[in-house]
Amino acid sequence: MKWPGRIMQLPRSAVLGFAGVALVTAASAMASRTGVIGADSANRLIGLALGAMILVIGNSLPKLRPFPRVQLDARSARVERFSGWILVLGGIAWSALFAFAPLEEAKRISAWIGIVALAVVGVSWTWMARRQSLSDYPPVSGNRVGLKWQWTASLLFAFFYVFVIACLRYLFPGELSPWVWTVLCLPYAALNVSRRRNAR
Amino acid sequence: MNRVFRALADPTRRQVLELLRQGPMSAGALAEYFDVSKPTMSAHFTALRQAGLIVSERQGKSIVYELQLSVLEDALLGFARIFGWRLLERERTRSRGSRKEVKDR
Repeated sequence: MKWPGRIMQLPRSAVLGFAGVALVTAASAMASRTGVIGADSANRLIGLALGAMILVIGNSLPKLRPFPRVQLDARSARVERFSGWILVLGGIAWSALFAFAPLEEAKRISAWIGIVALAVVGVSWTWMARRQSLSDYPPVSGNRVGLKWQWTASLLFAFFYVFVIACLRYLFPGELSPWVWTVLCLPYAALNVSRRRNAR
Repeated sequence: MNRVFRALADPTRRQVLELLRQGPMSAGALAEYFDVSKPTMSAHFTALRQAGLIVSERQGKSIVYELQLSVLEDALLGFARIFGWRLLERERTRSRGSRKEVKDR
């Protein structure tokens, strides 16, 4: 089966943006621990970095093409663009809250904005995934398309993982129970196992 | 980003992007909408492809183009459409006015 060329493209901006934001977050946390900046400033910086991450990934989402389509399809492209817009608007609102609102309010409201954005994206992606079959996904073994798709999937999984954890942490400041990690990792593991089984 | 702005500056290329919003189309089908030569149309497709706004895929004998806009590029296209349309309207009003002036003389 010949895979369409458009799956091959993985925007560098998305990967660099994600890595940059992770660096800013780690640097702010470290600066706060060593007393270079206050805890509030560090929290604001981390919030702003998360907002920027949502914005960057949302912007690149229509180009990342997480759903491989063997047949060219306008509807699924529209859904990807719609999800991208939702994440970009969510990212702008999230960043604005951490820039201008009182910190506690910013955490609470941004978490709800994030949950609503995730729910909208989740519903639209579920609708799209329903129209795909596992054989539409490129095989894992060695080829370039499979490898690039794996990169896209890993990037998006890392993004959604950080996004969900941030929302939950802002809403429930205590310790998160281990089931949250299990629930988040399960779909990713299931998809990979199915792809490997499919490749045999 | 320069390539994106250059690609969006041309009304024909913007129209191609608008047509591709409806779904992927072959080069031949797209060319039917425009009164330009094949090499010119091909140059427009190349400019759009180099800017990363569309992707192409060979299907048998024809090349099928598909839209690939990031959210920012989508917003830029929207702005370009609004302002391009306004400029067009202004141009039309101006030409209507000058025609009226000629008649009045």
